[in-house]
Amino acid sequence: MKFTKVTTVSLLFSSLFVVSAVSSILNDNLAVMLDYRNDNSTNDNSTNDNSTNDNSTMLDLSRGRSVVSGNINISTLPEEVHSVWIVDGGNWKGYSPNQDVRDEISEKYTLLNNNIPAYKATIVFTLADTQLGIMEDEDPTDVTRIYANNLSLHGTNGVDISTDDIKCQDSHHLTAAIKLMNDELSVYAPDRDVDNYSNFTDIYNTDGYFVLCQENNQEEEE
Amino acid sequence: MKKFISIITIFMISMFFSSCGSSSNSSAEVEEVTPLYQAVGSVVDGPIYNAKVDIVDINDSSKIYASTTTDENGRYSVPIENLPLVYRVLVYDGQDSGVDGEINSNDEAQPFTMSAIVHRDDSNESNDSVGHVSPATTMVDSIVEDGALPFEEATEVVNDSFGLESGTDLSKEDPLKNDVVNKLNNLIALLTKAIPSTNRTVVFKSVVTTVLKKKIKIKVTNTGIDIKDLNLTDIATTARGLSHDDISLEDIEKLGKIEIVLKTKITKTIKTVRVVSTITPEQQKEAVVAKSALEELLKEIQNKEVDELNIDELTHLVDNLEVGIRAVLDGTDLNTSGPDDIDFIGLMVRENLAKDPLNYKVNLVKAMKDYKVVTKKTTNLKVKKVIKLVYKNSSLDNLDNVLKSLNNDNILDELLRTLSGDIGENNETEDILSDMFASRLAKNIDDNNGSIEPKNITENANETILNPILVETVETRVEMKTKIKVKAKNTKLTYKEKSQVIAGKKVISDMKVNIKIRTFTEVSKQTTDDLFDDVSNSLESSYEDDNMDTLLDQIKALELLIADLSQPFNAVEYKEATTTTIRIVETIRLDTTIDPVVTIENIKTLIQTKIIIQGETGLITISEDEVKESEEKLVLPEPVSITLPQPILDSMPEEFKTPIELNI
Repeated sequence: MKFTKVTTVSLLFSSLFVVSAVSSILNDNLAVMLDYRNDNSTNDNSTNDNSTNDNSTMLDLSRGRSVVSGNINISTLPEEVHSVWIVDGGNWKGYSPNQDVRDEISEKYTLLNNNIPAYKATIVFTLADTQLGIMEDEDPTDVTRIYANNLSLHGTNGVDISTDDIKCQDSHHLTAAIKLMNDELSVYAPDRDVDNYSNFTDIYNTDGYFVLCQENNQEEEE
Repeated sequence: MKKFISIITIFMISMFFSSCGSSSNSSAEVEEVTPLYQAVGSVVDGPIYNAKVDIVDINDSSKIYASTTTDENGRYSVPIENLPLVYRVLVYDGQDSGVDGEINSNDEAQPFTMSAIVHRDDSNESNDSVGHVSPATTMVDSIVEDGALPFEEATEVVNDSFGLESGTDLSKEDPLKNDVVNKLNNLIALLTKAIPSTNRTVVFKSVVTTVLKKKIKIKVTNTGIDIKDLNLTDIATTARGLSHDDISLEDIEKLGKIEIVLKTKITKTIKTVRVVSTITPEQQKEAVVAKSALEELLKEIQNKEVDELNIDELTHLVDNLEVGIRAVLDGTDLNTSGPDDIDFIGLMVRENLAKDPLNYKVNLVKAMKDYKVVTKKTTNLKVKKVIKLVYKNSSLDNLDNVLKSLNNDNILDELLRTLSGDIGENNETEDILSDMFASRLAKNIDDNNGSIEPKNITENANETILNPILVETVETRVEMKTKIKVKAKNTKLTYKEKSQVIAGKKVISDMKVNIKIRTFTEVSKQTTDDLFDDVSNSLESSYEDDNMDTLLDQIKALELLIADLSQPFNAVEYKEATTTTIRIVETIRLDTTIDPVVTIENIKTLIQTKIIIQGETGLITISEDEVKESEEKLVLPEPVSITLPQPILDSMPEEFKTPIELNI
């Protein structure tokens, strides 16, 4: 019975990920990689179904940068938000409630023209205290959380997870997972004493997070 | 499905009206039918099987409506006529199938009566009235039963304390299916174990009291728990208030000292706990490993004195235990691994603390299998205990010799004969003397490559458990310690008493090393007494100086100084050696590039080798070079600097234009 269940789930994921591409952008020699999802992730079907449900969460934000996740309706962003950003196809895509900023985004990056789905991490630049509306999935799906090398950015896909669920690919190890809220960092680094930042082990469904996987050195492998 | 139910409903309604029509003249014949309910539910700490379940009156527990027992999955189901709107489910006895949810040798008896206040379900179509019973429902019931709060408020207090949604009726949430509720129940059960009491009902009551005072604020989610604000010392103090004889002031002091380690391990254990219906074999093992290692940690804390407790050591021990227990579970069958196996692994891991269990796990699994082969041949508990201790005291490289020597009926018969009398006056004396006997026997087996004869058993017994001078010396020390411990139940110990307990343990440890190669004589007894006086006086001075770092280093240094008990005690020589060794320990403690736990263990092994293998006499010290060789370098990860990538726009405030950096 369990075997049947596992097989079904595996097939589901295979079909989801078979056309996936690992995209990256380089910033300070670190690649920000997307989940193993295809680049059509922000198509029209991605969030419209949820945009009409009532299951919304209001996320308190203060001035600063925050990494969050959830279905975000970009047309209802409060004016205290300067801009919101996701990485898609290796590129920054952004949106702002302010027309001038939107023009600036169009000029320098790519302007988002769809709502943001829950599996994407969203970087929110907030100018003053406000609340960001996040629509919850009615039936969130957990995903396999195995990440490739280097720094990558992830959404939770609407489910609470734990740092134990983060695994790096073979021959790599998890150096750190990082959460950011109002410019405050919290860090999970399993092999290090991280005293200068707050630590965490739970990643809640509205959190977004960075993951740094690094290759094991020869000694460790031996 | 809904349509189908609607059709049935319409059909039933039409049947009702048609029957009304046809029986219009026969109302006298209609009997009032008493509805038959089926009281159903799960009984869970882990799933509790074979438990007695009574459905009783909410106001009078002696009024029993129905009784049944839980099945192998911890579920009950019993038909009841006239089931009241509100009733109580009481659960006695039963076996807890634990975090793996399987019926196997890991299971333990459910230690306290559980209960739930249940509101009858009238909304469903099946007449099933669901009432799950768990530590959490027991907590709600306990608050109501004590008259502290009515049901609804008691429920809210519990929900609020554990971060559950307001309005959650825990008796309706099946812990066999609901991961959060399951984790919560396991947490409550673990808390009752973490407080050092022999009476878990008392500890449970103290948790309830702490909840009532709204002093517990825990967040339980399906990914784990957040117990950083939980104060175990508070709960223990409350438990002490409920039962003075059970928890000592020293126990509470210990909890305060190691609370951080304990909470980390409880958090880790709860994270591995999953509902039985979805748990995979791999996750079962993870949960058993985490819980077993936690229980071994609790045992270790219990055996240590407050001032001996060292967080680095405890963390190191638990890490090694986890690897060891995991190896044995992988190498044997989870269903045949019980508390005795975990105890066996605990002893082996403690004895080999300097080594990385990843390197010796194959030997550990083999030792476990061999131990089971040998102990299968005897039912005598004392013999089994000595066999286990022989394994513990043997080198991991010579385990074949142990099997060769002990898997022999003549040897086992002789062991049974030798151990037939009383060993010492009480359990603790018996434990110490059995360990000394097993330790000497292990060396004998090693020296003879496993070819020992029954007469060797007798000879070793004569040197240890049957040596009246040794027995008397051990008894004197145990008696003194027991007296002090009894006093510690109600009074804070003096420095002198604290020093005496640690000095007593120290001399017994030296006796064990000496007894491997030397006969314990009247001279040994006198030297032991002198050593005890010297060490306890010296420790007392350190206590009075109030320099806890020096005291800790001194306690550690004592492990590295083993007196030759066959010679008269030389106080001057011992004092000099103590000063040097304390300095060595301090240097090790302050050096952040080396692993202090493994380094000290390496030095200890080196000294014991000099005494036991090389036969060196006198007080053994070590050279600077030997200390250097014993140092275990810590492999520290390279520092990493991370710049979080972000887009930058001219319109952003200046502070947003600089990417965030972190260094770890």
